[in-house]
Amino acid sequence: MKDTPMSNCERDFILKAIEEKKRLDGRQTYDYRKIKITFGTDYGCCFVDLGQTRVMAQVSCELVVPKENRPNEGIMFFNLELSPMASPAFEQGRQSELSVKLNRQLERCLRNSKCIDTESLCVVSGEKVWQIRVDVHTLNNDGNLMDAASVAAIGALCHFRRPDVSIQGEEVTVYSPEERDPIPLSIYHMPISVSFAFFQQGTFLLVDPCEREERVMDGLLMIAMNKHREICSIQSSGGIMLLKEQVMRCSKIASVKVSEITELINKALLNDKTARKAGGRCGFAESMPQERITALKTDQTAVEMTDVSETASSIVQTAVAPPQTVPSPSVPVPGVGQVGEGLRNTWGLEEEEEEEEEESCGGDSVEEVTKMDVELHQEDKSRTVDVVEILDSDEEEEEVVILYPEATKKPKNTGSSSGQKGAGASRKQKKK
Amino acid sequence: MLSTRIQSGKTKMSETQFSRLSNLHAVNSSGSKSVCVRSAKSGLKSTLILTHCSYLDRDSHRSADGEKRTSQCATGVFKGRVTSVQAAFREFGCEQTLLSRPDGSASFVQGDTSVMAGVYGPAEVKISKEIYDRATLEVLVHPKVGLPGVRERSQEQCVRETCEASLLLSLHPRSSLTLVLQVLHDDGALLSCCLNAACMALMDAGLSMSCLFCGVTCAISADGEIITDPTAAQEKESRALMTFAIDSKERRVMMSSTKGSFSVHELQQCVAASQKASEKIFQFYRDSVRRRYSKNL
Repeated sequence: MKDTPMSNCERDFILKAIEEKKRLDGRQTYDYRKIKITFGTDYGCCFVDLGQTRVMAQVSCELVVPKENRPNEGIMFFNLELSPMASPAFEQGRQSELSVKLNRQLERCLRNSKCIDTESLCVVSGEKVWQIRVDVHTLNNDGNLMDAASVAAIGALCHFRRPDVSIQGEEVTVYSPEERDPIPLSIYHMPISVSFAFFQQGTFLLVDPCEREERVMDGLLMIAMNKHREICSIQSSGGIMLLKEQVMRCSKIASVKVSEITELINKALLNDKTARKAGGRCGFAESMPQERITALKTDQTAVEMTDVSETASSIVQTAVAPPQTVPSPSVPVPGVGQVGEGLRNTWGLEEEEEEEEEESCGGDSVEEVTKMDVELHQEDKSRTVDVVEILDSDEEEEEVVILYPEATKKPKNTGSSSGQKGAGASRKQKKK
Repeated sequence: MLSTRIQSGKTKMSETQFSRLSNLHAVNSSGSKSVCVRSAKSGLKSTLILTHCSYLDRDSHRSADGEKRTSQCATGVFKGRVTSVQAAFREFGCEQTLLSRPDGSASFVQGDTSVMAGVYGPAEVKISKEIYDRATLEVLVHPKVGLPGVRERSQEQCVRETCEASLLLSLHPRSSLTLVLQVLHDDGALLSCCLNAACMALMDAGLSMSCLFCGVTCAISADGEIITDPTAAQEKESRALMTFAIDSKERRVMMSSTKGSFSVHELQQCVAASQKASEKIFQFYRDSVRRRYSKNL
């Protein structure tokens, strides 16, 4: 499905508004949209709402053999999925340019910045390490997917707990969450990406562009930074020439935004931790807004099931019983089993057979027919000379078969089934 | 004992038809078998695939505790203990129109299981997928971890066939409908939650349907108890698991997907239990739509 195209009027309108320092959603130039962070029921599941943009991240782990050149380091794997749910332009199972760009940026932001202690993920050097897999699903694309994805990924990594492991000699035991409390990952710092959109060849700058603004922008600058004001990765795309001062200004803005977001993540994590400790219900189901008119929730409900077994037995009893007799399987050729008369062309045979039946008083049993076939074949072999002559018209053939059974001694095409039947019928009559 | 995987699409079946088919299978089965049913009324073809008939004895059924009870499967005279039904729904909730991009969206929560659905369409269709007299429906199921596999493909098929049966696709010829389902958390009864989320999203998108549908999952525990809307732990311990899609008009079975082994009688009990349980879900649909179009909360 193609994305809805943007009209020239709308494009001009947005650009004109930006020139007048106005934005579609009423934000100021440096304003971020509202961010909401929610954690799922299980560990390592994080939802991020950035305005209307929605992203979910899920962290999972498994024990794998480490890479040969790094025998005592765990493996980090990132996968950002551009689900067709997020936008009609995203297609299933196709690596688009955008998807490659976002995946690469996420990797550079989180793996190459060495924010996670991979050495602590080693279980047995050179044999077993933890592989941490981060799946980021886009649910709704309203611009700035990268920032939402980076917040969701780092939030999920902070929330995640891996199973405890003990080593006794050669034996590695993985404990379930019931046996031993799972262990959080050791995270040094939290890199968070902040995006800047440039318009009119870098004259105008906007923080956190929405989807409409992304469509008309000339260039994009993504800066990943942690709260210690260390830049983890920086990427400029769209082919605009940026001045040194512009980059410096962006990094200053980014540092402010990053410290705000880091605080928010920490607060959300703390909130979730206290909720879990209290033993109350937490997760996605609980975060469903109750005040909205579009949402509804019910409590646990019992269903009246008094006459279920009676209905079931009455249905089973009233159901039409299938015939109890099953045709016995026949073995026509070695290696073939067959029930019934499948796989044979019966076109144009019905009338003939009926007439035959009238004449020969029921020669319809399967065994008899097959016997006849065999006999017929033997006959054919004995009369190979006559096979050359073949009757011209079908009508004549029919006449011959029905009215003068003796005429079947006249040659027939060996493969013709009508001929076989005719021969069978004639034989039966002879027997009488 | 029947051990079956049944899928029916495009045709709704009444209980007696269902029963007749399963009985027919009970007699004819000698291994894997697929029965094609051509419904005279609708002219649509539906296929029932009944497979893995590992053990079938028409005269004697050995129940789980080894007690031998006699019953005639074909005639349906059962002399055995009556299985109890533990019918309750976990708390469930739904939110519609929660995503801005899709034409219709919904998230459905059953206990801890939750699924989000988004619908796009009717829209332009690829020429290769175009059908000249009706809309092309595409269903995608995204798992929480990793890429979609065989499990997701089979769920997609179940949901697609149910939606095709209820949607009036011929109203939108040469167009495409895309339904995307994202699993947010799986704690049992995932397929039924997918079906419910799909129905709510289709309703939200304002697509014309001949009837609504809902999904109900039943689990038969080791001691023969039927549990509706099981949790993941209950699913794991169960002997058999079945999911039915029920239509809102006549409470008929639109789709069934089963796992594990069970008797014809148990199957009928589960169908009856699901039909009863579906009332609650349809009531919930009605309540949530009423709330949505009400003027105040």
